[in-house]
Amino acid sequence: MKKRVLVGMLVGALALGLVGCGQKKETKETNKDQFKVAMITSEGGLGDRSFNDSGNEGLKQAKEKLNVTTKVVEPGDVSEGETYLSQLAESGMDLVITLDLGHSDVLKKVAKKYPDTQFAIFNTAVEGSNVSSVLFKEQEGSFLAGALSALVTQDTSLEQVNDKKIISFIGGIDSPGINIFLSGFKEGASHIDPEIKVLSGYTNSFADPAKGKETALSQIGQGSDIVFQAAGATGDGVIQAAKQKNVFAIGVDSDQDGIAKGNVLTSVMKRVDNAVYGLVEDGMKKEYQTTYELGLKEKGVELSPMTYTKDLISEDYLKQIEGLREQIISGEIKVKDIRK
Amino acid sequence: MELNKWRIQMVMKSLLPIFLALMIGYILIFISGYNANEAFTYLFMGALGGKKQIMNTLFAATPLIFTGLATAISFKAGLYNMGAEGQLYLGAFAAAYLGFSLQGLSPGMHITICLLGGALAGFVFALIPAVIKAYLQVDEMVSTLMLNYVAILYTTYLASYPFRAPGSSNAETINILPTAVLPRFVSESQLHVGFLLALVAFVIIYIMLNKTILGYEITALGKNQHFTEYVGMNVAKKIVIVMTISGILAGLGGAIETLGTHGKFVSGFSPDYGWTGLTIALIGKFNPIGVLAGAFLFGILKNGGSSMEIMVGVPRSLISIIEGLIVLFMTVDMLNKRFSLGTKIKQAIQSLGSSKGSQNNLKQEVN
Repeated sequence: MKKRVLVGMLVGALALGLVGCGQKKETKETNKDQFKVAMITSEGGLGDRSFNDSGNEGLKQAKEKLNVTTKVVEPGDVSEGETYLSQLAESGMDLVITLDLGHSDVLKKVAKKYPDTQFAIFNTAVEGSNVSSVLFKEQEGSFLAGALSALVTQDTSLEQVNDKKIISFIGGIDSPGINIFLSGFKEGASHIDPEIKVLSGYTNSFADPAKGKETALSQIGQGSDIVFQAAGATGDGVIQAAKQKNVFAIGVDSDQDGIAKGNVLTSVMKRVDNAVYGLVEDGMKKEYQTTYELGLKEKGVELSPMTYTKDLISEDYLKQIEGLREQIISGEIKVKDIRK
Repeated sequence: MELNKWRIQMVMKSLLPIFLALMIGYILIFISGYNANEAFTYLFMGALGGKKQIMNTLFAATPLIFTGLATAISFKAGLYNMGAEGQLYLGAFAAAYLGFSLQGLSPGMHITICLLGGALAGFVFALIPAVIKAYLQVDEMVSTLMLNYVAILYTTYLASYPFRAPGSSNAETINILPTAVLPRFVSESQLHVGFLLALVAFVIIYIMLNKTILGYEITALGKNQHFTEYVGMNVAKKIVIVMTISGILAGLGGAIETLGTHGKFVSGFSPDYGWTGLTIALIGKFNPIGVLAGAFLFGILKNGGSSMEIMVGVPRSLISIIEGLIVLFMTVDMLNKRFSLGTKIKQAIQSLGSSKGSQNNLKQEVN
């Protein structure tokens, strides 16, 4: 009896599946004239509370406001880049965006093969008549973070702050893409007070929160009371360390202020969402630029709204930072780009 | 006759879990709100639907053949080399280093040297756990497992600091010279000559296991180590030989990935090829033919899975679920006499038939 039930259930489940799927087909409709965008995530994929999620957010907005068809795909490893780029182009996408800078070599090849498709890559420059490179002026956001840190580290009325003029930076890998944060941060700090000392360290990984915490604790031990991190998921550990020692951390890429409320001074946000949205907008007008350099002016980078800290610190500081922001936008202050 | 029946049973044992896993995968895709028929069509058409698709599937299978064989041969000897992943990374880095630093060689020569370098790296790195296992009885499962971290982190260090390509934000080396690149068959597919080398490795291992004394000794070692020791085999020496062959295979796999796929060493390039190889070795029952079949199956799942995601939007994690289910069902010995699904179905059909008979009887009685 039991066996009969088992067999019956298996057969039933299979039949249900077949019947159910047959019916579903009708509901699917695709408008041929609709603009089609696909986005390939970088390592880590969706759910990273950072880069990929931010890109996805922009795509969602584009879908809603601009009425385009969107698709987000997450390759398993970097060798699949070629397959993904070409298959997406073949499937008739108008715009294929990759967030993985590891795809830069294959993108050069693939883009030539599919001249009717527009490609876009983030954080690195790739040449090609149908390739847009999206670069961020991380140095501008970092400059503001550095300036703010220089002001805050001297305000000993705050319980998070000690009497030493030391702040610090933790990067994922010692590379130009990461050091741009450090150079902007340093420049901003010395703009306020040249005597501020900026410590720096690298964790050599973007996915190792334990290492991030360890490095942050050592810097805090040396007197740093504001730790700026540009290290992906490793940065979670940095924020934990700041919370544990009740000092400040500074977040990166997305608004990380909420991870440890009151202990994340601000976040240097890279507005990948704005960039993705802008790309789609340009695509619908067929007015792509070969290079997008997005800074404070273009709302490509900005400081977070400081939801949990703006009441802690003096209003005067915020005014000064706002002043600096305007000066950068107007071109009065030029923050150095060490990549050039 | 008896042997044939046993073989059929072995094949069935491997096919049944795959079938069940695919069936559950189908149901899961359906429940998740996707068109499961369309998804499965793309899964199979994307992997096998044309010349290019088949070539890409073989491309996906290539590194898995190496890591699968590497694991199978050691497991067959009762040695649990869990270090294929680490050996793969070192082989890949060694090949990349030779690939970008040796100048002025002819392509054939350069590729050969790079492959030998990759094999040597795997050999040396497997020698450590092999020797301490053979002569100091250190558990090879623990040592190889731990050495993976050493290899992966060390190569990441090398690619991040001393050998990082200038200006790159990724932890990767500069490109290898054109003379060291394993050529593709056609430009549309990523399949490269490395696949042929994988087949050569397969043939060599097959012959070695089935036609040579060493193969016999490996099987004997796997069946009962103490017995082989008592009958006078030099077990320690055999342990070293088997472990290092395993390391050479994994190292070669890494070298071929560098030379054929990436053209440089990229830190973290492997999506767990070593561990997938272990799964494949288990599915293939440590038999080279089984490993080859398993590698193709995982190639199909990987390549078809990407089409399924691109065309239908089914997340790749569903493919991982199917892979996990295959392994899960593998561990259940379904053709075991007591739990045999075959006999269960047979019994079920019989009882169905007999109950129909009794129902008929009942009806007649009522009438």
